[in-house]
Amino acid sequence: MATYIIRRILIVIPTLFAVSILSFAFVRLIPGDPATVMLGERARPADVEKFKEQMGLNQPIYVQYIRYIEQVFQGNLGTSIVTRVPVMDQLAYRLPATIEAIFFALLIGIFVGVVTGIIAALNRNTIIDTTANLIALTGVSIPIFWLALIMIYFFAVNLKIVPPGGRIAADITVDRVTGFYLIDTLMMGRLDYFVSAVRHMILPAVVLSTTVMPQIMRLTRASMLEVLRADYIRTARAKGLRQGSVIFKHTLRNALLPVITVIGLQIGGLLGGAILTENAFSWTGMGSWFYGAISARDYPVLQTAIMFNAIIFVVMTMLVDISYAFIDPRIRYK
Amino acid sequence: MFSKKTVVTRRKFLTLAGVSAAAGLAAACAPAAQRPAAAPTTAPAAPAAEQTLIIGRGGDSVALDPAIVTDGESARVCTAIYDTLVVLEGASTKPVPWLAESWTTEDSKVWDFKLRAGVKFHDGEPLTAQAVKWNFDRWQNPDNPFRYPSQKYEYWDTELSTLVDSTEVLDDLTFRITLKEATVLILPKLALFNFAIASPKAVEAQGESYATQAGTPVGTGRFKFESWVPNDKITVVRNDDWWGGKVTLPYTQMPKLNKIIWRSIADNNTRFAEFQAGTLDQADIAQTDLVTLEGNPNYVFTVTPSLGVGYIAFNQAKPPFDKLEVRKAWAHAVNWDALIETFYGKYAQRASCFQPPAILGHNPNIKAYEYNPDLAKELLAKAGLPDGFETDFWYIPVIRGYFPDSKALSEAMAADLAKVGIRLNLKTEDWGAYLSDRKDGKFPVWALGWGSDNGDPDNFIGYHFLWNDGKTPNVEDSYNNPKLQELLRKGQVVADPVEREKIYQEAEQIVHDDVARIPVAWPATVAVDPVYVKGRQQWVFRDQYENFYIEK
Repeated sequence: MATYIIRRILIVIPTLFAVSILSFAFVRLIPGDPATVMLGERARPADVEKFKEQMGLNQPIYVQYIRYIEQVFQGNLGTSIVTRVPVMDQLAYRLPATIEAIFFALLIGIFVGVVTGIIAALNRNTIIDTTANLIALTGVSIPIFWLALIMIYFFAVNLKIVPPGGRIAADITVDRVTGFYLIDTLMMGRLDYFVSAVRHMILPAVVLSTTVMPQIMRLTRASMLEVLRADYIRTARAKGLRQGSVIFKHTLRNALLPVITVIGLQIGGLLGGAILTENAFSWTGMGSWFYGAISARDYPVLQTAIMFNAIIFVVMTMLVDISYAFIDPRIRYK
Repeated sequence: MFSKKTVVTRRKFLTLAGVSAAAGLAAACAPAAQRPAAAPTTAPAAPAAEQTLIIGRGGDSVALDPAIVTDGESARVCTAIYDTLVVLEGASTKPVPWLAESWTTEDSKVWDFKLRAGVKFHDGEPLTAQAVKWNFDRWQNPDNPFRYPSQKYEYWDTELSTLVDSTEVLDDLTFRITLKEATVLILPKLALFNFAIASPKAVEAQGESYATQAGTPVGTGRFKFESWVPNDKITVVRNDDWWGGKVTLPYTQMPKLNKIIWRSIADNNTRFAEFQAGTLDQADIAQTDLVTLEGNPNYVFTVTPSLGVGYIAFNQAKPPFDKLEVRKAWAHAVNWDALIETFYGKYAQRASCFQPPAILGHNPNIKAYEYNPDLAKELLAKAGLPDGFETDFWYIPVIRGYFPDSKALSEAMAADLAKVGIRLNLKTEDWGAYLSDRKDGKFPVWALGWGSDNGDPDNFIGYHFLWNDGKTPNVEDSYNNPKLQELLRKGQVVADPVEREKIYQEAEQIVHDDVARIPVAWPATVAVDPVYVKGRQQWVFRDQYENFYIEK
């Protein structure tokens, strides 16, 4: 088992190395160079050259890469070409916002997904089941930025029951301690600020949750159906246990195992969804940061974005694999 | 002043995919008669309620140190916090006193500026000639201890370094600038937001982090910096000690707003939605979205001609565009009036020459190329191309006021050109690549535009046609007319405005006769305010935060 885990961890290193080379190359293959984007239509050629020199952009690409890797090992992710702020600082600033959004999106996604999954399974092949499936399918198919826009117009512009964007009302300044507004506002002792932060959280979290909700719902349903057919459930029923006890104590517990492993993998997908969602709600997290970096050809930020997503994905996959080792003895003994 | 207008046009437009609309972008060269209705100095005392103006924009400021920034989003905040020695009047581009109460010069070479007495920086330090000189020294001297390698003094380097020779303090309130050559260009240039005066004490104390996201900008302006949440919002509060509230100039008054918040909202759709939801009082809105608010009683439109032009340009190094007849044929083959009607609506005016009327040197005698396909065919035949020809045509991939829908307009233009035998392959590419490929001379014909930085013709027709290196034609268009070069160079040094106007009018005529560019449209600037945001004036080159107030 220990060997398996160690081997699994070691595989991560060459994977990330390969990702770093590929992403480094791809980022620089996007047409248009940052010097032109930064200096503008009237930039003099001499200024462009000077800028490139200063940013190391005139070096051969492999030299740029080696220099980049050197810096990364020193904990230096470079400096944004656009804002000239160290990428590391921005990362620390934006990460909490994204974690906050993803956390609530996951909560909503899991709760709604599991509950509707159970209901659909228990009402298999009825109108309820079909409706749930249909909604899930729609959820998968709708582009998230479009859904965001529809929600903004319906709930914020027309009904005006929630704010359309931002993390908190514009005239509130939060004293940053943790970077999590829901925590920081409470630490300030301002319940009104906290309420504002919660209200701003609703739409983004709901929209983002749709990236995971359908999968969770469908998997819960399938898994529930499978377990419901199992012999021990029939035994439990035969013993005369009440329906509630059969469903929640015996079926659900067993059915949720695969769901939990899938949730781990979904976090990677949530990050992807966060890019579009954050942008649509002007949420100052990782996603909107990366999104802006793409149009500005901000290489250091883009590079960090790709690596960050790759690391999350690779690490999540690794954790899921390792958890299998605990759950499934067959893997452990291979 | 050029503040936002400037930079939005020039740099920020590169990254912003929306036509900057509302929010102080007033703009418009209103006729002289239309002086800023002297924003009633007698206006009712600031309403009791807290007046907060929330402005939505596409991106965050880079830094709030005007000397080192060039982008529009930094400019628009800087203009609220800082004051310059001179400002442009508002409705016109005439330089008027600001921090400098008056100035004198005998030979246009040595200029003495008398500073306003009793002006204080937000940190309580007094504004003195020494403080002004301290700022000039920092801009001018590369070895100044308060400059850092990460900082670029681009505006000083491009705008003033070639003009200013030395500066000196004559007494506490008198500051002298000695120029290298006699010129009046110094005045509008001093009005650039980049040459606003910062508190020496604050810059010295904060070092490299001065006015960055980690620092505090300190000026003498109408608003004091309060806070900056990076990529989220910047908040300023009214400076109740502002000198302008205590003097009676027709264009100064104490702002009625207590607070301004600029929110960065990258997505155009989201920003527009927030504007409609009422969580933004002003916002930069794409022109395509603006149209949907027309006729809505909850919004007020202010449409004013701006200082820009959208044009078609030829690379004369690429045949057949070396032939004047071919370029002329192109100009006459297209029904430009119909295109403008269709693709700009009321937001633009057919350009008869390169510079719009508000720019010095605009030539009212030039008639726009008339629509005459028969003449076009004749010209082509004369050029030895009776059957026409085929060429790539490049249209811009982004939305700009000067080309709100470049693709559609190009398609319509192509249809007209096809009738005389000019067949276009429409092409475009990523904006950054587009700009550099055009510069490198890779395009035979392309669409592009310009917005004035400061209202000066040297920054308009001069910017486009003066050779970059002074010796050889620019690679982008290979346009070679020595007479034009001579005129444009003369325009940079001649001080007399009347003579100067003649020079540029002659230059305009040459550009027109050579068909070096086909000016298509002079776009208008559109500002939309909710009805409860009042006070907007028709100003060209100046922010007007002191004018706005909220009345719900």
